[in-house]
Amino acid sequence: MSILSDISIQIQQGRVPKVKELVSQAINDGISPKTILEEGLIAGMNIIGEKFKNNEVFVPEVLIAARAMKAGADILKPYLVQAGVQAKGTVVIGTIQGDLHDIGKNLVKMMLEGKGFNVVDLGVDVSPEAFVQAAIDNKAQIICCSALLTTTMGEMKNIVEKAKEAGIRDSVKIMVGGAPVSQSFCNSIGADCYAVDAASAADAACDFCN
Amino acid sequence: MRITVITDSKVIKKEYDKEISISDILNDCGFNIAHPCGKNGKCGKCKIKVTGELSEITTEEISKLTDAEIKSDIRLACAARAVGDVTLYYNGNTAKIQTQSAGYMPKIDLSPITSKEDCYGAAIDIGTTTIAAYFYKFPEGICIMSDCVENPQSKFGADVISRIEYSNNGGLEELRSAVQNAIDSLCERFGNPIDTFVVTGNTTMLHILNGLDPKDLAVAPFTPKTLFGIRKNNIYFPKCISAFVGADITTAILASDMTKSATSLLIDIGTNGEMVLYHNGKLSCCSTAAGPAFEGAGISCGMPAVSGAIDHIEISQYGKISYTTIDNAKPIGLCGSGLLDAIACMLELGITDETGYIDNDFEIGDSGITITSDDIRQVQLAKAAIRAGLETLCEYQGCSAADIERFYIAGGFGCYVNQKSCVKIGLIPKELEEKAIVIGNAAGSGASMILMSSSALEKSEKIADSAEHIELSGNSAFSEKYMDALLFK
Repeated sequence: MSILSDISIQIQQGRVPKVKELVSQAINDGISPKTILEEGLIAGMNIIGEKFKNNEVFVPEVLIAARAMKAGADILKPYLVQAGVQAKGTVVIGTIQGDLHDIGKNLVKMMLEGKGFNVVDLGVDVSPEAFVQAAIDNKAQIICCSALLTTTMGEMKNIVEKAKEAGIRDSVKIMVGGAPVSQSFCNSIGADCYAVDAASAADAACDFCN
Repeated sequence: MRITVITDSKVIKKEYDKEISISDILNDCGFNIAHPCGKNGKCGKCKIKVTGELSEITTEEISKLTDAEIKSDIRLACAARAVGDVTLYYNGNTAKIQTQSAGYMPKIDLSPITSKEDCYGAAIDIGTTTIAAYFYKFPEGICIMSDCVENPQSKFGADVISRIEYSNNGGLEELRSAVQNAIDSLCERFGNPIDTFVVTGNTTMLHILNGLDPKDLAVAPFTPKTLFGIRKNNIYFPKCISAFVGADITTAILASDMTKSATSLLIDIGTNGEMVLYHNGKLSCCSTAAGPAFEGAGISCGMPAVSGAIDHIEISQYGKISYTTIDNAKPIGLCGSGLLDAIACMLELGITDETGYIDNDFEIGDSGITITSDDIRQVQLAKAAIRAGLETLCEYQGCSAADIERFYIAGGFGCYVNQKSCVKIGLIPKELEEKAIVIGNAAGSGASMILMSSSALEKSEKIADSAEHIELSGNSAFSEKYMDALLFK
């Protein structure tokens, strides 16, 4: 088995020490950092993402795999920077104003990083202005906003409006998600995309950035 | 447009001059159809057969209805609208939900808070799902009648957030009068004049009943207009602890007498999932917001605990599945207690493992009722919230599950749930299995205690003042435990 396939499998099983060991070895073997990232780390997370969508694995498995990926990515990072490898894109993410729930949002962040995105996490109770400003400051391609309370969902529309006001609506995609959110709601507020779960969010982000 | 509603006992005709949603029509006819998700198209529980000139089917309906259902003219009442003449077929949902009688109550000295010696008093618990009333005769201080009615607000949503959302959209008065009318009907059924009321319930319910805007309860930092602990004319409203741990928990703590142990835990297993830990002389509490999975919402064959619901499942000595249904009726679905038993059995039989993965849908014996992969995920999410809430409180107070001497289970669902199944799926830690004490409607008993004793009233206010609320959302200690608790272990 190639070392890259092995990395992928160890990621899926969440074996942090093994992932670290194999990534270091792959670097020593002269495999390019970009290849290690794409065919080892991201490939492993992709398989987990597909299984998550098919209900073959659930949140805990995603979490475990994501932790292993992060461990590998941390080792790889300086080499990626040196080689001038760019992130797939930049995403600003947060839970909207008035809401403190972040478990789902954290899962989306993990899946986005699993696809090679640079994710700027604004945390919870984030104002529309803060989302937009962060998108501008970080030159983000996507704003992802999450809500668990129906009573706060209206803030998502404010994010769309603020993005228009700031003149970035055409250059930044807005993705919405969270238990009470739906495709109809997404359409009604003029957002670009509704993601039903973290894996779908990551796939949609990839589509936006291709 | 002309609407015809056909039920099994009558035909109702209505006319409207503009488009109207199917659920509004049913409301108009006086039918109390439940909308657990608050008409968001998310739960699929408001299915109804309807023909005629209807609005186009929505994406939500397509995802919640099978092809066969769509072909047989089934729509979701919350999503479909009559745009012309329409015929509805409604079989009613008037079955009475299983409820428990008054819960356990410790001995108290009688010193009623009534205005006169010889009179009647009422203790009312406005539960999110059921409103219960206990009618007392004084000076004897004896409960002479208990009664209950489904909380009519259920048509606006199963949980408090969806009801607050309805209020935010102009529905406060409708919500208020719905619950007021329900209380009035309970008093009418009793038939005697009531001198004094004690009305308990969660913070949202009390706000709504008093016509107070609950808006800020549902937005961080979750600010109530008042925590009550006040008398209004002849009604006393016990004190709430926070926006999401209400007077019902205060009165439950009172009735449980949980502070007599060095370390004790009280849980109301339900949609709001409130829990209280007492340790080292201190009370801390939280609301886990587990969701209505235990009331059947979000579960493919889920239903409330009414006739035909599979309520208990076990594995017989031959390794076969056997089940019982409420009223021994033909099985038509699964209620919360049955759901937990089902998963416990599936774990026992090796059909699923701690990760909750299954190869195929699982049929419960010969019932025709199945558990799907999605159902298992819903249970994982709900039980993780409760388990993680419990562990967060323990960690916060510096004790472990093993230190807990008494474990009180309050609420209707708690009366029917099988504790072994709860342990099997990891809803509660194993150490608590032998320490569980089911106390029924403790909120109602506590309200009754206040009615009967002014010292109980004082004690209840002290309880509310001293209890510390721990916010779980956005709490990293909770998040970590939640992720871990998603596994069945």
